[in-house]
Amino acid sequence: MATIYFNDALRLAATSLLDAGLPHKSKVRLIRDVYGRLRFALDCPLADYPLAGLTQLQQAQAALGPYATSAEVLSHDSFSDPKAVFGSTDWHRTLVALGADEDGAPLGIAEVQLLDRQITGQDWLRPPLECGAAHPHRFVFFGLKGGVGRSTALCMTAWELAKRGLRVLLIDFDLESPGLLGLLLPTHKGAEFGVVDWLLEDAVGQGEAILPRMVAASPLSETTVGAIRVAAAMGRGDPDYLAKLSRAYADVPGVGGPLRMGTRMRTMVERLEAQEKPDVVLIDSRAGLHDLAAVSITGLADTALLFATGGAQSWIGYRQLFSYWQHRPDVAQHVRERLLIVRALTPKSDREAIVRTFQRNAYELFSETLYDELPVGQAAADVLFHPGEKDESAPHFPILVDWDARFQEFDPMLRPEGGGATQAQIDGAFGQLIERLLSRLEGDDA
Amino acid sequence: MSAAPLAPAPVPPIAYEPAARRHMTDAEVLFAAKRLANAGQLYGFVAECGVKALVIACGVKPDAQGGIPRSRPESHKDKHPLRVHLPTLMSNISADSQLIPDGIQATRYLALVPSRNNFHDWLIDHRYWREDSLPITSIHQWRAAAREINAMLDQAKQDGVL
Repeated sequence: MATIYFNDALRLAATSLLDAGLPHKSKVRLIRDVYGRLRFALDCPLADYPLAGLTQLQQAQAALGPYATSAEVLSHDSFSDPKAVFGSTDWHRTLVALGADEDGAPLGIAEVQLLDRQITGQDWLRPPLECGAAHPHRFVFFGLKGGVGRSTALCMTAWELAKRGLRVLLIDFDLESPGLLGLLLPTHKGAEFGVVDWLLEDAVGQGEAILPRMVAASPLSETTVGAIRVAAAMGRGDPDYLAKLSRAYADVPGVGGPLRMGTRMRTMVERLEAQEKPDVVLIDSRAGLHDLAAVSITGLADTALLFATGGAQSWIGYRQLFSYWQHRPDVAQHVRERLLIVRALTPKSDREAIVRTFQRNAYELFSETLYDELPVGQAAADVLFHPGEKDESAPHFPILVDWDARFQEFDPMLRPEGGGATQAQIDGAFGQLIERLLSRLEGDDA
Repeated sequence: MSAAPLAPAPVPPIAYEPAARRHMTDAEVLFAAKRLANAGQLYGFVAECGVKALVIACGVKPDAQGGIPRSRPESHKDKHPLRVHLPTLMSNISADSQLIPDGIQATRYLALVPSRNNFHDWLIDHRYWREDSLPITSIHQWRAAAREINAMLDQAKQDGVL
């Protein structure tokens, strides 16, 4: 028998559910455990499921070899509170590619109900439950890697929006690289406490008390009509940041079960919003496929700005992320219209060709993953989400942020003659970004 | 922790996880019938069996019966600190971090049972007591903790730890 690896297990399990003889298919689900092993789970009492079907499932489960958690096929009888287990919001309609037959012809896609129990990363699949709650528009700035000018773009955005009279709240989720927002807030002007402090104090019931002491005004907004309020990762002169960071992601016991990091971060953002009453919120997300990025992109963002540079390698990570969502259509539908791709550090030389290639790659990526598949030879019907390649408001249509040496080690506090930037230079590099964000904000008002 | 093997045979008689669930079902029947004295006794067994199921899943090696062994693995003379009843069981787990091989995993699941010290006034000897001597007003605390234990078992089951 061929060795079964992680990549095969879900496909084999899904294939066995296609058997025409299997009774009550709609009752049969799959639970994948923290090691990646699988069990069938019957959404009914064991006695209500035909014995022949049960035997069939037991055999299929045994055939998964090391990727079967145990011999037991789960049912309502396996749990004390089956309603909670089978009613969990972590179940997702999941599409599984069935591979190819001996001639290489694709075998299609099966749909299963999957409860994926993971060690980390659960938040990539956890869109907020209460979509209707009113809150200011949240822009999340994300990059798969650092060094693409994400934080600089975020600072310039905050400044430009404040110049237009908006009250901007900036929250730093990049806890592993504190201080990146120094452009807006020199360390000695920071607030007494940071985001990391809130996570610790909240765990012992004191989150509320430090909330007013974790936001500081950026000196940049002394000359703007609007305000820039900054909640930094770290408090002013923190004597023990690493000791806090190493505890920040703990789950905290709550009345209705443990409060996970994602839930806690959401609570913190909502409370900061209630306190600061901003017109717009900018969140600096941690780079890479980290849990904090998952919380901010899936759980918080009204718009997630995905920073990328050219070259095939910058698409690999996004393709992985997008196809992960693609296989959970409910999550994909929630997330996809909130995304905007940013072409960062766009060079001046050969610009037109570079931008064209980037745009093409971005369109292909979205078309093949998150956009609805179009019937052959037809344009998108109203029910399908598939913007055209040239649609300038579409998620794939890149926002260009220019590479400009001036902004590499930039101090916005300096006047242009001392190494600062003129308004024209700022508009040149970040104008498109600001305009796209403003039009998203206007879309909210409409 | 390495993954649990498929279908062990022969089957040992002690199985803490189903025992915990059975005690819970029966405790709820007694509770609904206002038979609080024995309901309370069973809520304690729920917690005891649930915690023992967890520590075995976290690497404590069971004896041939499937239960916590009589003595510590490193010494045949010393009684195993986990082969005890509530509330000593909970305090021994808290006191000795070396008791459970995969302590990090155990801590993660014990965090799902924040009320586990609700059994501080529960005793195995209550079964011999006169009904009016029992601290029966504590039954709601015991019941709440037993429910947390069951939710913890459900979680560990989904995760493939049980």
